Amino acid sequence: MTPTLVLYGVIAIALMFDFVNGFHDAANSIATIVATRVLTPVQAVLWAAFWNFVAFAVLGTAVAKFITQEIVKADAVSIGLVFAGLIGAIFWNVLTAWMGLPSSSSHALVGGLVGAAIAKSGGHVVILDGLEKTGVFIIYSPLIGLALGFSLMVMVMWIVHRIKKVRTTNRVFRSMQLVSAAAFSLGHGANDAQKTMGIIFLLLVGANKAKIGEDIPLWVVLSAHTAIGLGTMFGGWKIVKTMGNKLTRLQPMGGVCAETAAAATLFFASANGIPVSTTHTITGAIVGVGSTQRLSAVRWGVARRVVWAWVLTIPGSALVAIITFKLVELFS
Amino acid sequence: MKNFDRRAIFFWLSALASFALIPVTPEKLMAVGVILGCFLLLLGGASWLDDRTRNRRT
Repeated sequence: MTPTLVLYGVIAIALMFDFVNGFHDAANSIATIVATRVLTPVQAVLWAAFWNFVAFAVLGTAVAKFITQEIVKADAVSIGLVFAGLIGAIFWNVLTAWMGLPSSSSHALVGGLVGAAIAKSGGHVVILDGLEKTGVFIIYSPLIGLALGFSLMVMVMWIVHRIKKVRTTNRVFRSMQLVSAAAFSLGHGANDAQKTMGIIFLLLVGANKAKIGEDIPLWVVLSAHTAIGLGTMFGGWKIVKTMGNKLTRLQPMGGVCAETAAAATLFFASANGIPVSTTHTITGAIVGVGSTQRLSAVRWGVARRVVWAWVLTIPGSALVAIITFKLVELFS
Repeated sequence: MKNFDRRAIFFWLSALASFALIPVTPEKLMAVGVILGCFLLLLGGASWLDDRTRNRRT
């Protein structure tokens, strides 16, 4: 197989990873908006996919640059390393989906890259600052979502508690969900698609077709956003169980607050080049909104599984990537 | 202790986690841990006061 063919093959796998990410996370974007019947499932899916796609024009490429420059040293990057990292992330995602563990594709990707880099050149090629940044935001991002979700919900409850017309209030919040769902999809598109951009750019570096520090080519940006948008479009159709209902029962008001809190967290992370989990962020926000009622309104079993996913994802995907890289070396 | 507001404890534990992460947070982003920790401490305090007020009323 020619090197160019290998390069395009691995780029296709990266885009597939992005597509599955959109497919998997569609529920987060459309759950509440469908549950409250603001939009039909078809309309909601198209709405989320549209905002996933246009995110490229709004929130830059800081996360993609982080993936290319702050995880593995440039001289260690090769197509085999990125391939092993991707396989580590994909395998881990499939395994945890089968186990019902809400793991993060972002952390799996970072873990995969780190594992493959260690297998190729040893621990010294891993950039510890970058790993620390990712690691601390595994905890910070849901906590920011939690704090913002709780505060927003309390503020909104203060504002609306005097309004006696429940119907009018509900109608207003149902309309506002259009904006909050769009904002969340925008944040999701920006943060998650950029990870794939970073991976594709690393592949180009590995194939000597680009240099670290250069701008991400437009075709890479557009293809990553197209893949995640299409994934959301196809994923949303089949999702019946919603993230909102799994954690705590959300009304339109709660939906707006949770999505707005999560979107704000994702905007902050994307602007600062921090790869975070969109699933964990919205989970934190939903827990925050749910805990304005009482803590028992939150289904802690799901939240506990998220904590397990925090602990296991990076080492787990790194281990799979190490094995994959050794196998690639053995057969190449 | 049995009747202590569990939500306040939850917020305070979250604040503790935020503060604990500050030493390993990159310098540029350290303010995130500090602001988040202080904010969660305040939320815990507000939740505790809210719980006390409710219990007094009933």
